[in-house]
Amino acid sequence: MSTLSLFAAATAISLLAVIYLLYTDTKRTRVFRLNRARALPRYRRAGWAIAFAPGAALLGLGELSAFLAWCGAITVLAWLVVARTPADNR
Amino acid sequence: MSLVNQATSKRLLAVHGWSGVLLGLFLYVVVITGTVAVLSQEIGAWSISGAKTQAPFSQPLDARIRQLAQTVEPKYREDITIYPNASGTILVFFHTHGVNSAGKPDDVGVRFLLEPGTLKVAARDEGYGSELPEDRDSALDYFISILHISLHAPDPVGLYLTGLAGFVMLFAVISGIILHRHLIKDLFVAPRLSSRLLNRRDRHILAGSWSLPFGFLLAFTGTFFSFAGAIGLPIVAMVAFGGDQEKMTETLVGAPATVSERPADMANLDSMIARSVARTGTQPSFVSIAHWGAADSRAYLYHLPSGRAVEASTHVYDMASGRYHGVKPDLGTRPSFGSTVYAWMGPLHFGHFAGLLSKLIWVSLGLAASYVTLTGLRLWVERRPDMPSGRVLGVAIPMVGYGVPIGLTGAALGFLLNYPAGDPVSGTAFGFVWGCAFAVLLAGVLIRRGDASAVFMAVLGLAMVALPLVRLATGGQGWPDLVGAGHAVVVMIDLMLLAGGVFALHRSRRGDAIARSARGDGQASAAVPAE
Repeated sequence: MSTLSLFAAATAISLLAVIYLLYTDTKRTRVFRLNRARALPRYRRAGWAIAFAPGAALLGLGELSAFLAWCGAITVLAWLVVARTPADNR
Repeated sequence: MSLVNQATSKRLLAVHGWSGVLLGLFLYVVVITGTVAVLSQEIGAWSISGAKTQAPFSQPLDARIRQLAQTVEPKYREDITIYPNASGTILVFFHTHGVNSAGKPDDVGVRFLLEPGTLKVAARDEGYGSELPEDRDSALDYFISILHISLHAPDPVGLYLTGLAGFVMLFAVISGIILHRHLIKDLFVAPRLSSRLLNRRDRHILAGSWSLPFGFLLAFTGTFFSFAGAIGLPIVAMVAFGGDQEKMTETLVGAPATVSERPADMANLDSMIARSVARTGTQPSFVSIAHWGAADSRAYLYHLPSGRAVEASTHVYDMASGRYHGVKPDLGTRPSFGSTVYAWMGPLHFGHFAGLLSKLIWVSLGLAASYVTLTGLRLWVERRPDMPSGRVLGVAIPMVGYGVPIGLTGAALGFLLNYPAGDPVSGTAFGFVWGCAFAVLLAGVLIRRGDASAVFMAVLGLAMVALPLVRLATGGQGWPDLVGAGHAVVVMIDLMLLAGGVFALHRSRRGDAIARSARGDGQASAAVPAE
């Protein structure tokens, strides 16, 4: 796989894990009084592990440039996803 | 859980806030110009609607360099630097080392500008490197880069100032970590809409929390680059080399092991470049030749990172035999931990290790850092509604926050309008000054209005949308021609400007989240107060 495809795959996996963590975050649910009945099952440790696993894999493969790009991209994308106030979606 | 007790935390918050208020706008200027400067190479290509050659070092340079070497004084053959500008024009600087009129060490020699394609001499200038005429093709990207590096202040004051900004950012990041008691807990809590103050606080903390690692990284590497040259190296020269900066440079750069003044025929430079391109898969971005015409002559071919690597690489060839000598470490002559750390500084700060992809990611990280700076300042103002200085800052924040980007669009306009038949170097500088002056005047007109962000945002949006149109109106190539000629990056910058401009215009009409919430539904107040 090329550096670009590895980066894209790693970022997509981590972003999905971040979105899972976002939707299962208890403080967010409490603060915005979201419907707990519709909440996903909570596996926080697994969520965090999946979020970080692609980065570890890139490091293990020696893909340093893809790893750095993943670090930068995931922090910005995660921020943009989390910064959307639930009220915006209603 | 807090890392410090409550009293220390209060004091730290006060220092975090006041250092931000006193130096935050200045820090913002350095960060936002750095964000734009990440794309300086692409902006250079955009400003002249694409380079005239895609592979400047694949032209037959060897014969031309030999010919030019015969036309300069022998002392200027000590070092030759060869690099292309934004248009693909090759700059060849035959030089030796001296002390300029300001009493500072400087390169002195003859610089040729070679037209892309034909390699005809377009200009010949002689003198000290810092005093040679600026290159008109790269006026815009050079202006933006220097604005970030030294704010166009005299050397070394400019470097001290940007280094200071780096220290402020480092302190803000570290104190932010200490102050934020629920960093991990609040990582997924979106900004609440129950009050403007709480919303501003949440926005600042959320953006700051997610961009903490890179905020630290960018601040650290930026401070290093500012202070290494301005303070670090002179101190090293004084302590370890008895003040002899030339000797120190030779040691750090790595002087050749064998020195011979014996004249020798030079091997074919084009062949070395072709082999280096085959070895790395990329064009060199810079070539330097030491001791042209002597038996110890070496060529250093600098390649930006490619593939898996993060570090740039310098490939060394023996100019007398044409033999490949291997990769030279950035510092010294043998690989070392210090050299590796140093080699990582550039890619981590400039984000150029994976081409356009990493540059765009670094631009977004820079925008995030700019956002954190401005939201921090706005939060400070929001917390002190009755303070006279808060009102002044309330006007100054949008004035600088949008004024600097408006100034940068002014610089681009100044370049585009002056490039076809004028002086784009002065035009770029005047364009920036006029853009900033306009922002100051606008702030003066709107001072009674309170928060004038929407007006500034609309002006910035209009200016950004205008830039691609002005580029076309001043003789720039259209999109089909650009794509056909392999200059898709120019189209990309056009699209970024149009998208950014439309977004700014849209946001200026829409207002912030609190205003939207107040206009829309009452559900925003469902959020609980801050904990």
